[in-house]
This record gives sequence, C-alpha cells and structure tokens, in this order.
Amino acid sequence: MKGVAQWRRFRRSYDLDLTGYGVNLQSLGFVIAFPVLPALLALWFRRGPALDMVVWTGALVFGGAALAVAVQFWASGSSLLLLPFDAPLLDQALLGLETLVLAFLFWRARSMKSKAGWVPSLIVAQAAAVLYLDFAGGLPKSAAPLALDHLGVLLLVVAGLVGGLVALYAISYMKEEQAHHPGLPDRRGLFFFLIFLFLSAMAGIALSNSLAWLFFFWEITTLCSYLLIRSRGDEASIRNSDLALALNVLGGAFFAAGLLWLALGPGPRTGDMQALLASGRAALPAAVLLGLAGLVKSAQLPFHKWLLGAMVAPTPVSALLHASTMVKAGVFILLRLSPVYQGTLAGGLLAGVGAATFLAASLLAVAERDAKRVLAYSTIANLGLIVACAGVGGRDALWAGMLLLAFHAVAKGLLFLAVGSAEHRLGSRDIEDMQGLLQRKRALGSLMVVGILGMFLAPFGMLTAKWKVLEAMAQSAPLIAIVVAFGSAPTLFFWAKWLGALVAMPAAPKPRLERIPRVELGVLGALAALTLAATVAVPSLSHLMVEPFLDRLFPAALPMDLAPLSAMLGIALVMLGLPLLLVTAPWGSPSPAYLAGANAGHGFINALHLPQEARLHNYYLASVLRPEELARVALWAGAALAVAALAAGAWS
Amino acid sequence: MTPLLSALLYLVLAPLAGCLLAGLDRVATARMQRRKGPPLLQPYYDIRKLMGKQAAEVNRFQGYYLAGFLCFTAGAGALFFGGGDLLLVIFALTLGAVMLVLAAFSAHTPFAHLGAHRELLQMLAYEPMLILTALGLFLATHSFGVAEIADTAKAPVLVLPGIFVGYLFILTIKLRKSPFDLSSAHHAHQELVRGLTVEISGGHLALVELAHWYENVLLLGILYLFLAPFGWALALAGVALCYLIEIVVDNSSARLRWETALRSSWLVALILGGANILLVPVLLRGW
Repeated sequence: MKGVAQWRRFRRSYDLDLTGYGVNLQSLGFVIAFPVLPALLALWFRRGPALDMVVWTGALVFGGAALAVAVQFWASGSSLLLLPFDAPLLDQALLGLETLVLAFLFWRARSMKSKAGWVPSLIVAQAAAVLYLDFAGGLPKSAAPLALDHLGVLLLVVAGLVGGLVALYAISYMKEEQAHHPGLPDRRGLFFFLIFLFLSAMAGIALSNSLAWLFFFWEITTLCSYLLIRSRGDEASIRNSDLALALNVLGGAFFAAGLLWLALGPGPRTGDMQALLASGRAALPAAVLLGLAGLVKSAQLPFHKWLLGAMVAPTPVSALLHASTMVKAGVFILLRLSPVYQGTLAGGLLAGVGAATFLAASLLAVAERDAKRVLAYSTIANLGLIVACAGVGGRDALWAGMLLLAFHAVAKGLLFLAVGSAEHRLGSRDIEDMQGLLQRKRALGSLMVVGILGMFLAPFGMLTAKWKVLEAMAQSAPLIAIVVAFGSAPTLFFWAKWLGALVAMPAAPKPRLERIPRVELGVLGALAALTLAATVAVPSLSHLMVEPFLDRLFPAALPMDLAPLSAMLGIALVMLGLPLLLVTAPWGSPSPAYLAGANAGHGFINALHLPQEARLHNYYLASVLRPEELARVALWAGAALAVAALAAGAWS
Repeated sequence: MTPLLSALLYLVLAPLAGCLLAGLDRVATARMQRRKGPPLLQPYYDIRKLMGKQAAEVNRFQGYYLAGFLCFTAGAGALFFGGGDLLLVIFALTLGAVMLVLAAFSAHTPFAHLGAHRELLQMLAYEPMLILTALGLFLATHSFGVAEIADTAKAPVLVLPGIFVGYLFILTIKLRKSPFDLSSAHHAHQELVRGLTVEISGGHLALVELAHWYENVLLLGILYLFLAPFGWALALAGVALCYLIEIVVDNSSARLRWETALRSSWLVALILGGANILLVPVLLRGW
C-alpha cells in the first residue's frame, strides 16, 4: 500500500503544471522511456516486417521527440531548466535494475576467456558502492534528477538524429548481413533491442542531473556496448567484447570512486551535477575521477584499445558507438565538468591526455589500410581534440568542443555507414579496393567524399571548430596548441590519401557493383545533407545551441562575431559546388596516360616486351612511423598523463 | 586602403609579380650556373603558349580540380592581403593544395600517383610549421588578423627568430625547391617524370603555373609580416634576400629522400618552432 501512495505522489508531481517553462517532465520522461518500448517489441517480434515496422516507428518517434524537446527548450528561452520531483519508487526501481545489470556483468566477467581476475572484483566493488551510495543513502539525493541545458540538448539531438538514422540504416544492413553470412544465427531482435536501449540510455545521460541516475545510464551503455560488440558471436567478437567490458568496468569504477569521494570526502556532499559544478574547485577530485571515467568511455589513451576492437561488430554498431552514443557520452561529461577543470593543473593534464591522443591516433591512422580502422583512429583523435578543449576550458575552447561533438557525429556517422555499404558491395573494406569508387558507384562515392571532406577540409564544420581550437589554445595553452599543430598534419595525409583513392579514375573496366537499397542511400543522403547544412549553419548553430550555454558559464565574455566566417563559408561552398557543373563539358581532348613506354590496353609493355598491368598502392609511411613502437610509447605516455591528472586532482 | 580594394589589387597584380619573380628566379639560377639564361619574361611567354594549346586530359574531372586549386590559392591570397585571419588563410591554402593532389590522384597512373603521394608527404612535412608560424605571430602580436599583425610596432622577427628560420626552411618545400622538390621536379627526372603534373598539359598546366605565381606571392607576403615594422623598403629587401638564399639552396643541393625531408622538417618545426613558441613570453619581455 505504501508503494501505491508513493506512486500517487509521484503521479501528482508528474502532473505538475510546468507549461510555463515550455518543457515539462512528461516530455523529458517520454524521450528517455520511449525507446524501451520499441526495444521490447523488437525482442518480441524478432524478425520480419513487424520488426521493420517497430524499428521505423521507434527511430522516427525517438528522433522526433528529441527534436521536439530541443525546440520546446529553445522556445522557452531559458539556459538551464531544473525539474524538481521526488519519486522514491522510481529511484528504487533504477537501483534494482542497476544491481541486476551489475550482477549480469559479473556473471559474464566470470566466464571471460582471458583470466582477468580484477574485472569481477571491480564489478563487485561497484555494486557495493552503488548499494552504499543509493540504498544506504550515502549520497544525498538530487532534488531535481532531470535537468535540461544546451549541452544536454546538443547530445540529445545528436543521439536522436544520428542514432535514429543509424537504426533505420541497420534494418536494411542487417538483412544483407544475414544474406551474406547464411550460417549466422538470426539475432536481429536482440540487436535492435540493444540499439534502442542504448538510445534510451543516451537520452538519460543527456538529461540526468542526478549523479546516481547518470551512473545508472552510464552502466547501461557499458552493458549495451558489450553485448553489441559481441553480437556476431565469433571468436574475435568475444575477445574484443571482453576487452570493451574490462575497460568500461574500469571506467565505471572511476565513476563510482568519484561518487564515493562526493559522499565521504572533505568536499561538497552532493549527488547533484549542478551543485557539484557550483562548488567549483572544491569538487575537483570528484571531477577528475568522473573525467577519467569519461576518458575510458571516449576511448582516450591509455584506454583506447576497446574502440579499435569494437569494429568487429556489424557496421551500424560501429556507427552508433563512434558517432552518436558511447564515446560521445564520455566527452559529454568532460565538457560538462570543464568549468571545474579550467585553470587547474589536473585540467591541463587531462587536456594533455586529449592532445597526446589526438597526435598519436592521427599518426597511427596513416599506417592503416582498413577503412574501419582508419575511421576508428580518426574518432579517437577527434575525441582527443574535444577532451583537450574540455581540459583547457574557457569560452572559445568549449565553443569548439561542443561544435566538434556535433560535426563529428554527423560526418562520422555518414562515413561509417558508407563504408558499411561499400563493404557489402566490394567484399572488402580495404581502402586500396575503393580505388575508383566514385566512378563505379557514383552516389555512394559522392556521399563518402562528402563525409571525408566534412572531416578534414575547410570550409566544412570540423575545420571551423579546429580553427577555434587553435585560436583558443594559442591564448591559454600554447603547449597543447603545438601538439595540435603536429597532429593536424597527419589527419590531412590520411584523409587526402583516402579521398585520392575514391576520386581515381582507373581506365581499366571493373565489374559492376550490386545495387544499394534505397533506405541505405536515403540515410546516407540525410547524413550528408546534415553535414553540409551544419557547415552553412555554423553561425546559427552557434547562436542557438552553443552561445547561450557559454553565456551562462562566462557571463562577462564578448559575443562572438561569426559574420565574416559565414560569408567565407558560403563563398567557399559555392566555389566547390558550381564548377562541378562544368565537368560535363570537357575542355580538353581525352587521351591515354603516360606510362614511360608503349601503352598496351590498360597497362604498358615492360622491359621483357610483355604487356603488364599498372597497379597502384598507397603510402603508409611504416618505415618512419613504426606503428607498433609508436602505439606502445603513446600508451605509456597516455597512462603517465592520466595518472598525473589523477594525482594532481587528489593533491588539490 | 580598404580590405576589399587590397584583395582585388592582389588578384590583379599577384600574377604580374609572380611572373616577374619566376623570371628573376630563372635568370639568377642561370647566372649561378654560368649560363646566360632565358629572358626575364620567359615565364609569361611559356604560359601564353600553354594557353594556346589544347589540353590532353585523362579524365574530365581534372580541369575541375585544377580550377579549384587556382581559385582557392588565389582566394587564400586575397584573404591574406585583405587583412583576414591568418589561420583561415592557411586552411584555404591547404584546400587548394589538396585540390592539386586530387587532380593527380584522379589521373590514376603510376607517375601521377607517385607525385600525388609525394606532394601529400610534403604537406605532412610543412603543415605543422605553417600552423606554428600562425600561432607564433599570434603570440607576438596578440592577433590572428593579418591587418593587425602588419600594424604592430615591434617586428615579429625579433620575438620569433626560431619561427622565422623554421618558416624559411619549409618555404623551400612550398616553393618546390631542391632539396625538397620531391613531388614535381623541374627537370624530367627518371623516377618521377614530372610526378604531380605528368598528366596535366596545355591550358590546364597554365592554370597550375598561374596558381603557383599566386601562391609564391602569398608565401613571401607571410615572410614580409615578420619584417613589416622595419618599413617597407627594408622589409622588401629582407624578403628579397631570403628568396635569394632559397635560390642558392636550390642550386647547391641534390634531392633528398622523403624520409629525410619529413624527419628534418618535423625536427625543425619541433625544435625551432616549438621552443620559440614556449619562449615567446620571455622574448616579449626581453625586448
């Protein structure tokens, strides 16, 4: 009966009239809870048109709901919305679920192939921490478990739009996958269950103000990523999912340690994110511990290996992990805590981890030929840039970090999915095999080109953000700026190399490629449109999503003048686009290529007077980079910086 | 002078200046080799002749990429002489350079492919130093705006000696001079043929030459920024001296392996550029 009374009270608080705020609890609760419905339905239907319907509806409604919340929030004109309510029943339900999740992870960790004994013990320790913090009341409850601000809206929209599109793409991709690997058991129901659960957890992370809730959703993403990476069930998947589990359990332990410090330490005793931020440097040790959890989740040195392993999963999973969920949760929390880091040694060292990751991952990407591995390293590198922004802090750096988060999500989502479609057509994801893709599959090739341009060239969004990164770092952290300058050059090298393979026009005819389903092309087109739109809309994005957030944190700062920038972006886009119309009207006469000898068909006559095909390969600079050594050095450097950050946080 | 006017003046005058510079370069080089050399206006005669020839193209996208190379290089220069943001100038210049590389990649033949990769290597080699140059100028003058940098009272070269030398070092790569002319030799070397530009001919090749003229004037403009407060006569004399040094280096060295080019330029950027940037506060106080 007590439960019923609690439920009534909860209902009453739930019905509180918050319309004056523009956003109410219902809408936030809906956007977090709704994806659970398609998740369960997917588990129920398992396959066939019913599953397709569930995924379509689920993805569209979730994306729409995320956008609706964003629009409501903008319309309200406020910059931070705390939604106080008390629902002990809900808290207990979450606690119960969290215990179940940890018990499940414990059971899985026990059966790990590699005998990493510390993983189960860490899970037990986390469970003990959770029970102490939440059940025994060690951590004061947050009065407003949910809150909404521009950073949260940004993550919510990214999860809603990119995550929803990835789910739509996965419908068609997973059908092909089933056709390509007939021996594989059909686990699509479980697959979509996990994807929607993941999206729900992301919405939760974006909107939670209570640290206990945040931790709950954090653990859900660990669970989902572990099971998704495992979904193919072969040996490599199992090995890599175990690695992802081990590292993310470590991250969870950092998170729990941060909460324990808040409960027991000399600092502020609070379970509320905004209260933590308000206490500033007094909360630095907790912020550093939560930041380390963020480093693990966003695959920074020395914890980056799990993301490289994660690419064994079907491509939509990679797209989801890299573009819209998992890793974005990590940098989200770092950006959130950035005001605490600003101007501290610990913050500088965290920025150092990010910058070192950016440099090392960019160099390592040069030596890779597997498209998904290149993308994985590029993700790690770009997240490093965001981490560097969060660690340094300040208005300009945060501006750049938030925009990087958004631009990277759309462009990387596009690239992963495009590689997925290419892989099913070419039977390979080796970049060498993509030579001439623009010629062979015009639509897919151009979409991939847009994604790559979006990642590394002016005037596209990523470069606009990088411009601000350099300007911000030059002012406040020249050492970080130097590292970023060195890290930028290799990104140029590996992207241009890939772009070069795509735009190549081989004279020799190649076999025709299988048709790409319309859904897949539609999703890729939508992501490409988002990439281009984000480029043109930088000023309005900044105005709507980023600057109000920064104005709250740094009230004294001058407004940003982006007008000259937008003019330039427009001119550059026109210059890139218009001349393409001329391409159909060639000025010159077609001619065969020069091959230093007599041409024979599509090759040449060699020194033995035999016809020989001309074959071209890319540079990987292995002799200079020595990737294995570099990876080892980077790992230790990252570990040293992370430990130093922890020590500096504890010292303060 | 308004920014727009100076940008327009650059667009009109840079080809003239670039053409004269190329002519002077060839005359000076010839004198160093005890030859008489071509007339001063030979680059102009070359380009006029190229314009009159039909371009033989291996694919129809090449012209597009080359037009992009010219547009973005000239655009970067216009932004620079219009007093714009130095980092954006560098980004635009990079965009132009990537377009040239794509033109070579699109040809998909062994020599063009080799040239394209070597050009990318060169970009990998010079890019960090180029960005460090912008960072250094910002730290010395507290602005990324070219107009503001040119207006400072204290000559940046006094605060940025390391960056200045480092920039001269990568200028050798950017001007495609020996020992770093890896991607496209001026002479038809066996292993390269013409590398990057092997499949580019006629009017297309004229576009490439024209873009180089624009680019060279811009690069020397960045050099001028270091010396601007000394007065225009002295600063121009300094730039001319630096260019002369580049010609001497060009004529007295053989081409290096790409590994050496890459390692040496990163080392120079790290030691001269990086250290200089960290020492800027000390140097600023010292002067």
